Amino acid sequence: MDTTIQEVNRKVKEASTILNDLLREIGKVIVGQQYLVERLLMALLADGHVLIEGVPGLAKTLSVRTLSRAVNTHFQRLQFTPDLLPADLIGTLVYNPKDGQFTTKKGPIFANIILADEINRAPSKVQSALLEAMQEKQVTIGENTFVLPKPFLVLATQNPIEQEGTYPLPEAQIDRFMLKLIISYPNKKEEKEILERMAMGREIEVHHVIGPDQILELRKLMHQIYVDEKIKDYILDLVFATREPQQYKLEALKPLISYGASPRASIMLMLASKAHAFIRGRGYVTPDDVKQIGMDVLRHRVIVTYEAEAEEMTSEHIVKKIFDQIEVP
Amino acid sequence: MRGGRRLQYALMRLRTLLLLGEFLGIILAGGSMAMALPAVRIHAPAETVKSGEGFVYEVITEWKKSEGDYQIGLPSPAIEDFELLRQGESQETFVRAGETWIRKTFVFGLRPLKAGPLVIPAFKIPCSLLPGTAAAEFLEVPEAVIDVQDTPKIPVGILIAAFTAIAATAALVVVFLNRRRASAPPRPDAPASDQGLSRFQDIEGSFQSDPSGAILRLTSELRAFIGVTHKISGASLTDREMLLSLAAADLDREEQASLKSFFTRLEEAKFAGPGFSKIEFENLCRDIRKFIELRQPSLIPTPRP
Repeated sequence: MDTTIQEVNRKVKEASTILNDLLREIGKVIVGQQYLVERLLMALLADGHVLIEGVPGLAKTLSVRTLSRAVNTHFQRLQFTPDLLPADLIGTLVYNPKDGQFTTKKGPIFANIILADEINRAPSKVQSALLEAMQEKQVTIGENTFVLPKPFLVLATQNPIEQEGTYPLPEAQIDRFMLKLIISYPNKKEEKEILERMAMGREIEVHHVIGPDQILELRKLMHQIYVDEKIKDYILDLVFATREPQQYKLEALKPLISYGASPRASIMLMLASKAHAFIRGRGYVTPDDVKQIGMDVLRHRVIVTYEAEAEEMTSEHIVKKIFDQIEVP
Repeated sequence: MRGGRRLQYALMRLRTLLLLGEFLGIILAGGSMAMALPAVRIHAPAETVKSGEGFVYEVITEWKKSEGDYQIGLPSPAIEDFELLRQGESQETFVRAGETWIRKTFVFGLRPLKAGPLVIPAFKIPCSLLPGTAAAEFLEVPEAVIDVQDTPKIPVGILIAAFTAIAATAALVVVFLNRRRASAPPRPDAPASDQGLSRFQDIEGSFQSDPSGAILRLTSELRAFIGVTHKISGASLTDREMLLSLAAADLDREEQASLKSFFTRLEEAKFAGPGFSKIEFENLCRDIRKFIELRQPSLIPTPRP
């Protein structure tokens, strides 16, 4: 191993122990959502945002709140409703009749970790305001531009049950989320553990493990993680297979894909793979890192045709076929 | 009395004659021995030699072992028109028509310095019978004529360019063949005992010129072993997925641990940047080969004694 990569590997191994402590701390409260908590951590490291789809009662809010406590950051929950306005999100100018001046009142978006609950229930203009803030990491109120705090993580949720009276996120906007997670019910053993922890009236205290500055340092380290050319080619093969499946002996998928993944998908997949390698304590990315996180990165970026919907083929089926076909390096 | 003296005189004469005859016989025998020298011949190219090309010139001496143990001196042919590339000698014993013979050969590697009919003149080689006997005899070596053909001169720049192009093409061909060999099945006509060993030797040898290719080939060997022994295969499966499948298949713990170690080392070799040394690779190659040899001898059987 190259000495530079060796050094990065050593630092990542050391840093991953801190992350394991963090996961352990969160695990005191959250049972059976290892997948969700790890992905939240990856998004935090890779400076990405997460869209979560899951039925109510799966500890989505609790997971995010616990994560926020463990990393000693400011957490804000936003419940999206149809009557929400952009100003309710980003803030507004308030007129003070005493001095006749307008003062800026910052909105709840000025937090490190935002939980945008049921984002598909708010009208498009509110969604756009949030998504613009996610992209630009700043908001403009009146004439002034305010930079959002660092780190800044948005976790948006969508309820898959209630679709009536909702405003589905446009595909172009969904593309801004690094990961889309589908979370499901815990198993019986996990749910019993949940009962023992949550239904006994005990309050579990979560201690700070790291702070926002440390998160930023870990991000810098994560960017140093080595990605071999073969891994980059593998990532590109996966993304290109969503655009031109026939070139990868997946002719059967061609009529099912309306739009493949964009170049943003390649970037997000590489960043997410690095974050995955980081959590695993490695200073280099392997094909397994790409494959483990690939579905979460690509499932919301492949737009299927009506033909696919008629055949009950979802984007997940298509992405899985692509992963099963593309040879790992 | 007179008859007795005559008889005595005759006997004396007879004895003298006999002695003389013996003496003559010895001389004649010695003479015939001195004349039975080893036979000499030369071996030179029968066809034309190109200027600048090397060829072999041999001086071959032969004699019957019963004649004695000859000591042949080193030949010194006049080779001013040639460059001496190498020189050597050898001796062998063989049987011809029921008789044991000894052949001593002097070899000269020569390169002509000019074109035209070049002559290696006749010369003599000293020869004597062991142990250190009387004056040495000399063996006559006939002359040799070497016909040297001139070749057109090529500018050095063109030669260098041609050599560079050939070397680059050869390197590309080697890389291409190595990659093809990695995916090609073993020759069905090659004995099974040789296929596996030669594959691993080939992989080890190819690391110097194509480390990335060699590591991929070694990974293929390990995956092929898992495919054959545990029926787990798939080009799209990652190493971790293979290990998970093996764990689910209730594999022996020690074997699992070994496979995990191999995959970890291969992973590091493939994806942790350059710097995987030749020694590390050779050790890994050896460890994997031994592992496969123990568990699936048909894949890499030990060679027949």
